[in-house]
Amino acid sequence: MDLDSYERGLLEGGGGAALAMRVLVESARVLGAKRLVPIRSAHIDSCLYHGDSGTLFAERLVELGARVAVPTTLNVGALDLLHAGLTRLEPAASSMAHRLMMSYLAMGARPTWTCAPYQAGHRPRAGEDVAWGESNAVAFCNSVLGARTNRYGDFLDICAAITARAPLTGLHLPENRLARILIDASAVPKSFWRDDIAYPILGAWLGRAVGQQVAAIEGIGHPTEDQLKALGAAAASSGSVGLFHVIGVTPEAPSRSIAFGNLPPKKIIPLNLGALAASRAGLSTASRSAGEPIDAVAIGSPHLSSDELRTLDRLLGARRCSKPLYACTGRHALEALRPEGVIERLRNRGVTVVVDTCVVVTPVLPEGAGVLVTNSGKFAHYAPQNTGYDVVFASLIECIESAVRGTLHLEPDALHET
Amino acid sequence: MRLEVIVPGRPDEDIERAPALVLTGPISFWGGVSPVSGVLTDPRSRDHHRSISGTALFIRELRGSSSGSSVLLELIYRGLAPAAIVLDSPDAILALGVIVGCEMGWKSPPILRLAAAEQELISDGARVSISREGQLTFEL
Repeated sequence: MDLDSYERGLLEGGGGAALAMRVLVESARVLGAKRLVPIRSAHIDSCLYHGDSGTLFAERLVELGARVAVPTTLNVGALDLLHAGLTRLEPAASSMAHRLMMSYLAMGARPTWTCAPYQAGHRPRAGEDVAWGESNAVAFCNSVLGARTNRYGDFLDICAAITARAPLTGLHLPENRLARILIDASAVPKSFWRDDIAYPILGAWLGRAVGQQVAAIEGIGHPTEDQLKALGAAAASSGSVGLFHVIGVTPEAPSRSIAFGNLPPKKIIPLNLGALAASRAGLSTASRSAGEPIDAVAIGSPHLSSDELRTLDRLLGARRCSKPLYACTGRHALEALRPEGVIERLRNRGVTVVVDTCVVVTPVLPEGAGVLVTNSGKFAHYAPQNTGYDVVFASLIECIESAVRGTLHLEPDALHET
Repeated sequence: MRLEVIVPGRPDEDIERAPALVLTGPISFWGGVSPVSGVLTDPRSRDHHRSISGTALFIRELRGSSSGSSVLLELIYRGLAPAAIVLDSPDAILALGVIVGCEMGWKSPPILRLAAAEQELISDGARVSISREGQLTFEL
């Protein structure tokens, strides 16, 4: 590997930085990278507890004096640090999960504890190289912000933050960021794209259709930032999508020809309502009809933005939830909404506001399995295997109405008519 | 046959007569393997409920949640990792579990490369020996 003098200095300097550099260099070798690239920021996913070994590794780095060398945010942990007792981890695991979270703070990372760091003030500029972990954050960072990162997994994210370097490969290289596949959505009625539910459905379909290849989508109008967030999260969980373009919307796709680097698409995939209806059906694992009982509702994967919490507040109105409704968000949104009283109103009406973590990575949902209603493509993907709950995928309005009534509420929509 | 060594790991000795577990379908370590028992947990897999601990684990198709590194490290820490992992192509997520395991001083399996088509030569349950240089022999 071709290392510069700073990089060789870290290796030879000993301590935590040398350990991080050894891990980075060895991973770069496995990835086939010939050199490293300087990075400007990092987002760390390794602070989520999967077992004692991860805590021992983080504590080893701290003991050896490791510090992050670039601005670094933290993804969710396994505990809600602001609401003690919300998660039901057993005491030993809870203690190790807490030690893990504290180790990352001790290395100088910011206590953001969110999977939407890009809505908590961490917004790298287009073209910057960064090292981000967590699949939805990676998809957003690459696609919506135009900054450059690979999908950095556990341990590599913190080693990149400590060394300010990442392997120069994959999506750090401009040629690998060009679209290869064109998704032609012109056959889908424009009205379909007005509803938020369109985007996790599109994302889940996109992940299956293209896997890790870079696609550009044409003909879905101008989605909002929260809609792009939902699209990316669903695509990243169904198909490891790390970068997508929306022509006329995302920074690297002002036009079709720029998105494809003036080359013709390798493949054009036409999208239609039938494929979207199948995608929607595939997001549910429970066959529940309208009016049948449900057990819980969860929203907020990725974490809800301030705007999404305001919408929840408005749609719920003065009514109370009769089944638990979990709204997962970051402490940044809690802080931003404090003056408006939104969080207090939601709590008074039976909404459980979860911060610093979420309901599919740690035990929060009521014990014993049941049926969970969610509008998140990512929750729909992970809840069955991680929580034992069966899932009904639904729109935000359907989620809220179901939580109020205690039974599944479904509204007529374009996909039900196909 | 001679396999490419992706990461050498930190095995205490050459791998001798480890039982081959040849997975038939794709696997994701996060969500697909229990980090506390080493047992395969995907109910859709034909190999559901089998343990990967101590096996020569042949993986034709890896599906990658990036938390797979943490699951493999936890298996290494608990002494429940496979004896060796054989992949169709290099994978940084599993490699990271082994690289960090080595840094922590824990016994960590080597990861080797063998094309999916050639993995078909190995029958499930065969006894597999692998030298540090990647020389693989097996007996039925």
